[in-house]
Amino acid sequence: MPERDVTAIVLSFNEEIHIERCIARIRDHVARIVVIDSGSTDRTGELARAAGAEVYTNPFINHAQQFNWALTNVAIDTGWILRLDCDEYLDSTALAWMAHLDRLPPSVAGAELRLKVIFKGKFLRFGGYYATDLVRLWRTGQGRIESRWMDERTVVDGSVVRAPGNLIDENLNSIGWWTDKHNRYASRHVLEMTMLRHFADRYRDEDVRLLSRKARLKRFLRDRVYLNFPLLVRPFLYWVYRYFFLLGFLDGKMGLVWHFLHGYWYYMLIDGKLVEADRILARHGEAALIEHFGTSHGIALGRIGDRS
Amino acid sequence: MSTRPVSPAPIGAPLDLTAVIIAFNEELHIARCIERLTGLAARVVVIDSFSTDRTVEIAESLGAEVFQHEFLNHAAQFNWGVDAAKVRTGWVLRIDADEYLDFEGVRSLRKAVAAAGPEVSAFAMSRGVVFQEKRIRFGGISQVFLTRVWRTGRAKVEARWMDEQVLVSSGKTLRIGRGAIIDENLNDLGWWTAKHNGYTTRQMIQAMLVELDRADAIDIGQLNQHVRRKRILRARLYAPAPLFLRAFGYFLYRYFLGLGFLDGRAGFMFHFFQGLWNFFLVDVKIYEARQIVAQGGEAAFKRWVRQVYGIELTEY
Repeated sequence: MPERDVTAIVLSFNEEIHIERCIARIRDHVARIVVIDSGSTDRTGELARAAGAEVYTNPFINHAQQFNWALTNVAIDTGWILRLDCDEYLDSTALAWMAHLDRLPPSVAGAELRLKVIFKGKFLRFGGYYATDLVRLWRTGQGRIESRWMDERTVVDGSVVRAPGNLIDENLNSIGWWTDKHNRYASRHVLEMTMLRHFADRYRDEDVRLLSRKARLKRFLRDRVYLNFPLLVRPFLYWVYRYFFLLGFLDGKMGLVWHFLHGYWYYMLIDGKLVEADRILARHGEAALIEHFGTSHGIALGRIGDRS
Repeated sequence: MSTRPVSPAPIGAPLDLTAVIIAFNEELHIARCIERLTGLAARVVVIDSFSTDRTVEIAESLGAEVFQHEFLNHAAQFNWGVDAAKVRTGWVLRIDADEYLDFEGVRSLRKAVAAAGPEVSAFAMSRGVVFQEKRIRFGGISQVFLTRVWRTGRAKVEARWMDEQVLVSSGKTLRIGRGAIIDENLNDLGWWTAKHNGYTTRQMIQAMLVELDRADAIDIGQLNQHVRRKRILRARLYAPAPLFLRAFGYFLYRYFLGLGFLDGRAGFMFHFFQGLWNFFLVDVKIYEARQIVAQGGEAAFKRWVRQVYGIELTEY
């Protein structure tokens, strides 16, 4: 029996539907499970403790800030850290591989896992959706999360290997819940894009050089290519690319739903919110835009460009 | 915000009419709605479902009477309100807090009600939609006529979870050809999205109650001509069409055949979000609901609606 040398860190907010699955699936494969809860009003904390996790509470600003808070404030005594969301779990191949981290050479600082999304019971294989590798496992002290409002990646100090198996994202909530979540996510995207569009000098992306080539390419395509296509037209182009060119239609009925909602509607919502933000900025200036982010998007800012 | 001309002085005495407004957290719109009714309606009644903002204070300061009642759905709230307010005027006007009468509408409503013979029970008015500061003129949106004014006691709002219309029990319903009730919500797109997330849940409930044979049948002869035609098309063409694809079909019809593309950028946003996403989301919710029904029947469906959406179906 190899030594378990991993601490799993899980961020949560009102996750009673997933928290037990999350902990039960990882419990026997890690030394510690630490849940950082941002004031859940349901039974998340209670269920997490009962399942064997340590629970900390910290107010949420964004995912990056919350995770980095954990890295600083939780005394981590294991050699490795696993970043996991409540609605995610590792498959058995990945878990088995994780048992032998001690065989990795010291030059390896982190490991990437392939993200596999299951939507309403359907594994989404096409549309470019089964092609994302995320650094979720790294040596304690050698990794942190990029400071961003959205799409924050893990950056590590050292080389990264690709682990076999999958990181499975299987959210069990209703589509109504999913819609509210993506309405909030869209606001965070709008904030990042507003920096790029109107306050480019304040847009910081210094950690991008620490990302994998694939992640760098994705960031470049999003920030430099997609953003230069016309507003409200580009979501359609992106959807056509994803659904037809990348064969998203092969994912069946749930693929139709996922690729339409996530690949078209979501990007339309971002652009619609950008149109509003542009209008406010043009008519009333930055102070009004900051107020708009506070009241309409629930994001309190000192100035545009802040990320914590 | 679009510029609106200064209100003209009301001409003549108020009509023998009570305006009934359903409201919840409408501080952004309530004054605009009530101001157009001042001098036109003998009474303005706001049925509030315990707003936590300044809605009640603003409404009262403008001379409206406020009644408070817990919200179940629009139809139940409206019918409760008419009873609670003990409406004794000859006519009732139904208007939402985020709507207002345009000036042409104020004038033509005044004329129409004053001239109505005893055989006239109700009036249907044109509804205009303003989205992202732009009036939507195509895609069939500007040709909607809704029964909004009726003789007290001769009509009620039908018991539905969504798209509840006015049922007129007897007499004629005439169209007011000029002017409109304008629907212009000033909230942002995130708010609009959250609102329609709620609306689509209600659409799903309505569709599922029909599937479960639990929806009240209505006499469609009591709907106005325009609404009746739409209801029939919906039942015969839209409802039997396959989930998801029908939303695309409707959007293509509205945007291309219905010339929705002539509405420009704001129009594209409106037709996409309201005409495609909104209908698509209803279908996803129906798909989810059918899975619940297949597993546990009607009881499981009601439990699921309560747990996931916080809506109690046994009360209704």
